[in-house]
Amino acid sequence: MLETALITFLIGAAIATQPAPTYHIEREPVNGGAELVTLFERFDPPSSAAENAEVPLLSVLRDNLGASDPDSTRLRYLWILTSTPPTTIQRAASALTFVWIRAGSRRHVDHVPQPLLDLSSPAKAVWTNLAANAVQSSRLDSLGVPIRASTRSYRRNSIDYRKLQIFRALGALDGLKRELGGDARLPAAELREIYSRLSLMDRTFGGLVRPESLPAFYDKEASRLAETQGHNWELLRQRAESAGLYFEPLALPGGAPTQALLWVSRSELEAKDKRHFERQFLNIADPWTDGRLLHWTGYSETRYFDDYNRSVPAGTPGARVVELIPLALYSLNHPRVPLLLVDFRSKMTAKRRELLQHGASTVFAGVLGITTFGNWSFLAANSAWTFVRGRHGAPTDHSARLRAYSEAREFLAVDDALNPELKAELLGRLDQLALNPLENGLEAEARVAKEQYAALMQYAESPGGLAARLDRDRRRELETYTRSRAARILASAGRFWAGRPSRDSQTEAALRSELASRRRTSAKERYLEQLLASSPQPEVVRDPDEIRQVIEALSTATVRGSRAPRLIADVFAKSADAEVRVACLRSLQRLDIQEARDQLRRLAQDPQTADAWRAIALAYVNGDPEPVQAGTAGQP
Amino acid sequence: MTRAFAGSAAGAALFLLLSGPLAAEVRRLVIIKVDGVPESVVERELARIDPVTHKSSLPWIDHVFSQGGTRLANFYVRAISLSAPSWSLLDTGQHLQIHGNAEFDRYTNHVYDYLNFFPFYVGYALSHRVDMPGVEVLDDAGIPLLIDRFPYQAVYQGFQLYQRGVRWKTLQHGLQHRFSHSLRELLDEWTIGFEAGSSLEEQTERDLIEKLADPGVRYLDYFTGDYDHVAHLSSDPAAQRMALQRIDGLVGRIWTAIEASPLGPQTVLVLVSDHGMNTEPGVYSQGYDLVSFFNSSAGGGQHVVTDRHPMTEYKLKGLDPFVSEVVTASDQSPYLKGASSQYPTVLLDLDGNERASVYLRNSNLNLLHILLRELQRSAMDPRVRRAAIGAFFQVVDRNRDRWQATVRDLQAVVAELNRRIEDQQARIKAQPGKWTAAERAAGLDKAARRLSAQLEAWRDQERGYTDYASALSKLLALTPADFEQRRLAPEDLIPKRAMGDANTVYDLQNYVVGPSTAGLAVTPDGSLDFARSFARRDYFPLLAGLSVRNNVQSGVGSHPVDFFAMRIAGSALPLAPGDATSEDAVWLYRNENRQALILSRHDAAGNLELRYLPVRGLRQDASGLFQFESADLAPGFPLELFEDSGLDVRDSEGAQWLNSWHSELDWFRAIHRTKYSNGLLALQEQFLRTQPPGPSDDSGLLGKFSAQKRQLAQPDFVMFASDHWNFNVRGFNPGGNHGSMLGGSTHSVLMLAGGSESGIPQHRVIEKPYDSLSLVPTLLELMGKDEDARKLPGRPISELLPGPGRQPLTP
Repeated sequence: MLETALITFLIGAAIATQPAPTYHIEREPVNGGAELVTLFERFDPPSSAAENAEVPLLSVLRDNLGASDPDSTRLRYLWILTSTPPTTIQRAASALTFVWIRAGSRRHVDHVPQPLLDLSSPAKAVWTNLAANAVQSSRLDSLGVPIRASTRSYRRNSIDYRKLQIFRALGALDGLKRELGGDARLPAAELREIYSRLSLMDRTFGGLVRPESLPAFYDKEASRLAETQGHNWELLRQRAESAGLYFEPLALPGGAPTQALLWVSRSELEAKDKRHFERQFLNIADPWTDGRLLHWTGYSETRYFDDYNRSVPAGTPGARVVELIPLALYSLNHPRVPLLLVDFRSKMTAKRRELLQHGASTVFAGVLGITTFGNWSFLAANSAWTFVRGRHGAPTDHSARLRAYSEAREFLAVDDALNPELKAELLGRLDQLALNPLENGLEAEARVAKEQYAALMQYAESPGGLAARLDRDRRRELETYTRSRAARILASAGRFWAGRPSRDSQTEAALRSELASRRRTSAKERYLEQLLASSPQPEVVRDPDEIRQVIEALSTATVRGSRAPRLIADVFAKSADAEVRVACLRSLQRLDIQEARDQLRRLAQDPQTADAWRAIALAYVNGDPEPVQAGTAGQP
Repeated sequence: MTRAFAGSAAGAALFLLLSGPLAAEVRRLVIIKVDGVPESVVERELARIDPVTHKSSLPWIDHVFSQGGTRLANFYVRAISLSAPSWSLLDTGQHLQIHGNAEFDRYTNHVYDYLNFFPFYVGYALSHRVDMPGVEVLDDAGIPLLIDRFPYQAVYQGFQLYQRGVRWKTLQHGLQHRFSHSLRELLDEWTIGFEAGSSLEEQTERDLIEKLADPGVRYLDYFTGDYDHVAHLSSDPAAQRMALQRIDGLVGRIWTAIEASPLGPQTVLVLVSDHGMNTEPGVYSQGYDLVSFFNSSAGGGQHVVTDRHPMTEYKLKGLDPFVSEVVTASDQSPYLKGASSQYPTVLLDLDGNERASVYLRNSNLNLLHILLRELQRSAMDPRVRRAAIGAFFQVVDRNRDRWQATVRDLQAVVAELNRRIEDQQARIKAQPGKWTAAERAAGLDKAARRLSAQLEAWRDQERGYTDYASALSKLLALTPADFEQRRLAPEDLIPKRAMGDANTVYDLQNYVVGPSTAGLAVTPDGSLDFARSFARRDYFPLLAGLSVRNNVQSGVGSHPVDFFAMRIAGSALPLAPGDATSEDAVWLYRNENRQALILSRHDAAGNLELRYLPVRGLRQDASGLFQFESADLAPGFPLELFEDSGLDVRDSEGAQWLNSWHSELDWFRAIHRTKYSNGLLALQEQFLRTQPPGPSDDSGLLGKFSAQKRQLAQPDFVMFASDHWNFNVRGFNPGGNHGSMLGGSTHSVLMLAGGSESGIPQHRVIEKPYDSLSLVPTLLELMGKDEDARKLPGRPISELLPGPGRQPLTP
């Protein structure tokens, strides 16, 4: 009895002491057989006035046709809820070429947000961007300095703002993956798809990447990030060590360190020992010759270290007491080198770097009209300069810096381990890096995100809202299965000239049923394609029963023009599993289409196929209903 | 019950009988060489069930080797866990000749850069080279590779460290194939990122699979360094899993092609790794910069040579793919400022990173150099000058016999080299200018090109050793009168770009790094006060005492250095009668109170026996005499055998067993599961193996010279990094490293599977420990080359071999 009570108490205590997850997923049904999947984060602002709150960060429309079958589910629109349309003042400021400060924050939003990305048609964003670039280069740039400079400035700020929001969302998705290994409410495959598509938005042709290449991209990105974090962690640790500084990596629970702080010991500064200091990679002034640190009145912390230089709690016997002064905060996620984000001694160190790079591009592209587009000598000079600087460890990639900045903000927004005073100081100093007039403060973003989420939910519940849009999208999707690309273009043109028909002939239930069938067939074909590409013998890498089920399912739902007969025949050719082979032949026989009969005949005549199997295949060709009895397939 | 038991026993016997190789025939070998893959990670991934496929994460390795073949659960690298030494053992089956990924010749500073492919490719394109540097060294020592045991036409060799020749067509076809993809595929690759290296690997695989259709090809291999590369950079299990899954897919494709090939039933597929990797999820391996340490005043202000640029990725010079020697000058050098290119004083081989091979310039050369510099000063007190000249000759005389012998030997070698060079020129002239297709197919063109490469190497050696012998001769010819007649410059007398003879323990405990701050001092009797005149370093406690202030990982200590290992003369050791040996020993140093000696001796039958002797306070005096105190076994001694629960001896025998002589096999069985696995045997292999006799057709002199060159490439000492520490300076390897004797680094992979007639047992795990030396004799015996196998030193893996001697297998 006592034992049970003790165990219950201990379990309860363990649960009580477990930190609440920072991220979680919520799913809300949408009219018309879909659901809105929303990622929330636990916002932990440093200011005492603000309360901890759950902030919706991004929502995805998951079109599951009202069923729970993942094969018939499509991801459609993605909204980043912290992203807002700018205020008039923000718009005006962002068009002014040399205004590189925040122009206030948006206070409230009262309308439905625009989706950032259509996951079912990601290529659209590529063509839109290319068209905008073409208009800028061919039309706007030739209209004189004021138009060129202001349009370029406005576009750049808009693009940067969008990237900032994307990077923040990516940081949150990383967090979700780290904490929960994917949430059951958002299957791992879908999480990977969302992450990859968002990540690819930063690349010119990212939207054109085929769905089958997404897993490779995702894996590569994950590996690259892990390598970068380890590399930067080690580079900064070694540099701190050789400079006599204290290195403190910062990580969210369960994750690898993504940020790091450098500290210096006050007593060592006062001892005035001569120490070697190399500025490369650290990018801060030599603390050992800096008089300001001797009279430091800013934030500092007292730490305790044991004989092995391990940080220990206060009061540990024999511990050495050291008062540490913070010097700098770095991002460990930045490629090649840790990126200096905060210099505690100078508000301008990191900002100067951004201003110089921003200024240079504004002067060249906006004022002088010199761009790398078509200007080969400038392209060569710019590339050489960037390469040499990058080679020596300068952070030359604007997007990568934005991402590091955005991820640091995200880190500070959710971290609850740092001292609040230090965290407030870090956030304040980080905000000074904001050069974009379109950007909002963290707390304003949180408020606006909640308002936009509410508006989106209202839109989802309205019969003429999201459900109607979903219905249009589904009808268009069905056309991709039933009509050729040319026919679809002609039909679109017809609709454009004749106006949209008031109602489509097919009922919603029939549409859903047909779409579900089409999607399932398509998913099974994809399954077989991936299976064939991944292994020379399918049953070694996947369960043979599973393969048979897929093949048999295809035999009942495949229509003319499908890839299924070829795929099934290929599985037969590669498989050494008799049951799988019989399933292939049986399915080809059942498929009442010419392509299947052709494949069956080919297998019956293929000299690569063993004689016994050729005979069986021939029996299927000849319409024998069951040439091989179930359970005897192992002995053809 | 009894009947059931009898039935089970009969079934088991029948199973063993049927699964055994009764009438095996192996006619072809296919070897997949996977660099740096640790057994523990493969085990982890084999056991992991993929949540999507519900199969093992490595389904093909599971299918081919776990279910259909034999795996060795305890297969270890025999020596230091680095690629160049480890592959040399696996590719030859002979004792270790190559002791690091880079080696330096102490007399000429010549760099043996075993890992750099670029000079080899370019040299091959220019017809200067035909073999990778490691192959050249082994050829020089008269040691054949496994591929040399097959006719030239019967071999298909992939791109690897011990490579003969280059197949340009593989490169060409690889690139063609890369750009033959559809536009959408290319766009995807361009957006996601091209991987040039994979083109070559994919094409090599295609070539290999094509060659499998040719029954005349009997040996094929494929090398991949993919996992090693990934694991150095990241300890993330997902990233490492992906690298292993690429290997897994490769196994599947090759195995499927073998099954479809004409010799499929008689083919054996081998998956082998050269060493493991000390990698642990969530732990970053921490680097310690030894170049900066030796550059610093505390380290002696030394100019340091490495085979690559420190922080390569942040230098434009780092883009130079041909670099094999980089000098990092010290601005703290007390007497060689500005002379770093002529007088580097430390050579470091850091590759692999869990160990550093350290070559220090001979301390006596430093001392003479300093004296010569001091004697150049015009305003020198005559008394001090006389003392300095006296000291100079005292040092020269102390070394005179040895240096004279060196000069004599080198002059004889150079004379022989000159004669050989003339002969070789004549042989090259006699070669045909053009080769027919049949001659090329037989490899005759490459054999001819090999003569030219050898000629070039001899010329280089002749120049280098002549320079060193001349400098030594000048030193030996000096008389005190010469100092009165002319001003003698160090540059004229001290050999440039040479480390000189290896340092003794005494030298390293009293290593001269510069003049003392007070300058030269004279004793009352007018002689030079050696103790007060020079700044010295005792490198062992100095390096062992290094620690860092940032100790931020709970599983990683603050001391980067674990212990040192150094070869010392066993005959000079004051050993107890039961321990006495005339053979050399390995001294292991962790700190002043935790040291050990690995003693070796051979019994009357020529069998090697080893003894682990814990000691403390080992020192050597200037006359060469050693002294130390015997120590009782206790925790904390190098290799940590005493406290290791993995030590496989009876509990009651623990300390007693460790305090006795044992055969190497007994040691291997007892220690292979300890923290430092087979470290004791590996250190013996690394330091104490006698050098080879050289090519058998040699007159003797060049054979001896070949052995001497190997001896000259030995470092003063090797220092091993503590767990999760490394000495990489080229870049950063936070994922993991190897090079030490720690189990993660030495525990390698060996798996075999065969066709129906090969006799390779299925679904078997061999628990008995084996090491790298066992691979080649096993493969030779499997192929019926028993005679060749018997000449090799390794134990064949009897469980894989047909015949009555076959051992019972562990299911």
